Amino acid sequence: MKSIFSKFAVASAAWMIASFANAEIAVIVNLANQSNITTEDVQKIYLAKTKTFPGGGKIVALDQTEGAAPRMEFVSKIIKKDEAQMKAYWSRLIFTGKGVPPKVMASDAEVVEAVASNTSAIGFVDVGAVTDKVRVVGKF
Amino acid sequence: MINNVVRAGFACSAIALSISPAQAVDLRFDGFATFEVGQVLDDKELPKDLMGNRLPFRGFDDQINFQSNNVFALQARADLGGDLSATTQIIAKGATDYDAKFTWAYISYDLTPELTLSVGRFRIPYFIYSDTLDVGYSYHFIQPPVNTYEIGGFDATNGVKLEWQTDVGGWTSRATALTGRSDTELTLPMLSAPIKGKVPRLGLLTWSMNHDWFTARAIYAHSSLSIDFKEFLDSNVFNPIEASLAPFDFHFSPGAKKQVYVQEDKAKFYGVGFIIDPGPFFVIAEATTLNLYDSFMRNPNMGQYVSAGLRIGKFTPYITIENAESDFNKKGYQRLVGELPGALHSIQDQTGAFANAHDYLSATLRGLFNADLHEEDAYNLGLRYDFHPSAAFKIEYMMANDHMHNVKPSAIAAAVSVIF
Repeated sequence: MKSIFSKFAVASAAWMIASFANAEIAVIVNLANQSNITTEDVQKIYLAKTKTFPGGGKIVALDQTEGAAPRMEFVSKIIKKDEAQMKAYWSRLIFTGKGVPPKVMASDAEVVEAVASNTSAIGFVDVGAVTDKVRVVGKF
Repeated sequence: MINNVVRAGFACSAIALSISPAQAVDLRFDGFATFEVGQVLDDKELPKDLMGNRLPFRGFDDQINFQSNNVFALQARADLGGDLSATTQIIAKGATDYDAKFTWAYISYDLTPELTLSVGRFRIPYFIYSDTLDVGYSYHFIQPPVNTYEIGGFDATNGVKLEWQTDVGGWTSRATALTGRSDTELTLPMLSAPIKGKVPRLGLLTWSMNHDWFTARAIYAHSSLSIDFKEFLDSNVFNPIEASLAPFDFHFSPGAKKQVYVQEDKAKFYGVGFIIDPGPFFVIAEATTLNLYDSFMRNPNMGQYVSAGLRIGKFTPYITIENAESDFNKKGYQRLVGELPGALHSIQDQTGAFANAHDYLSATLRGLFNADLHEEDAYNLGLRYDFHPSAAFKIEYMMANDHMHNVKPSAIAAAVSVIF
């Protein structure tokens, strides 16, 4: 009995880890934005290496709260850094005037709303939060 | 850091209303601080200056020191709309009793999305980490390698800066052109009062290329440099020598003395560096040379280092190996010695240490040029621990082999760096 229970616990923990790792992230822009945006472009935008979309037009990048699940996924899968590295990287830009960090939104819903109402905006959310008011440029 | 954005509507000002419609200004406050503690392990291994005073090593001496390398800073940035922003950074350092100074204060305008023009006061980007020298959180070591980063207080300038960031076939290219003027006050152990230093015409170009985990950087700068050493050199070197040679009615020529004074001397600075940072580990290397012509100060002055670390979760163990080499102004030394009266060759040296008085005075003059020489190998072992999302703890063992003074100073230091 005991062994069955422990097997179940291990299996459910493994499932939780797998489902967490599989949480899909969608990068979204305004419906009016028809730019072809690659993963590399998204990296550049969030590392302040570019200020305009590939098709032209200014960028208003949106971030989420540190430690929030979609942000941790986004930073590790797309930026390929961890949050501490990301913070050290941004500290080098902020204190040298080379960049202003993306605006922090409190939730997926807020990101979707902000992207839907701003033609310059780009954000990332859990795929489950995507609505038809925004355009998905990539799922990761 | 990110939560500190304050949206302030400065709409009430009658002046603002009379010039333009009510505007919202985005004000953003950020800050950083480092608290450092350290101690030299054996004070007998500290180098001495010309006057016999023990010099500190990396800012530390044999007493445990809680203050000298501490930094507290606040930055305010106002986005004025229309691609215009104003930024100030106020830094208070323990070494100067927390006397707050504006290290940065400038207005920036985005001419295009790729081209930014800034006017005001900013850090001079001589080295990879110059811009964030005081932001301990932004790098792994406790202090950027001192043998390279020591630039004698000339680290900020008032001037104009043009930054150009663009994409070149998948690479991010960043170029900076800067022109400005810096004035500073130097405090040296051998001088009783601070002296003035001036870099009146600084011109600087840097260029870096980044692709994914690889960054390469190059810099060239030129300027003229004046440091007010004249009085000290006259009273400690030239006047005593000329007085001892009164029977010959001897005086060094103004041209020969000019080879010693630091008066509008030409200076050139070159540097290259690279960063390899795929994530699990990183390697950084930098090599720089400062040529300062026609003075008693070292020329060239070369510094180089390699620093490497491993990222293991929240821990980053690292090692930094540094080397500094220099040479002296041989032309200036030979000119001074060449002017000494030839008759001194046949006069006995009173001290008995040299073959004749000419050799004795030559050695005295050589001592002057040697005083600024710097040759050192240094090894630093450390660990950074990111114990909090906005704070890092670091501990480092620093040791050097100072070949000019024949000492091997070492120190242990710990620091906490935060950003907010």
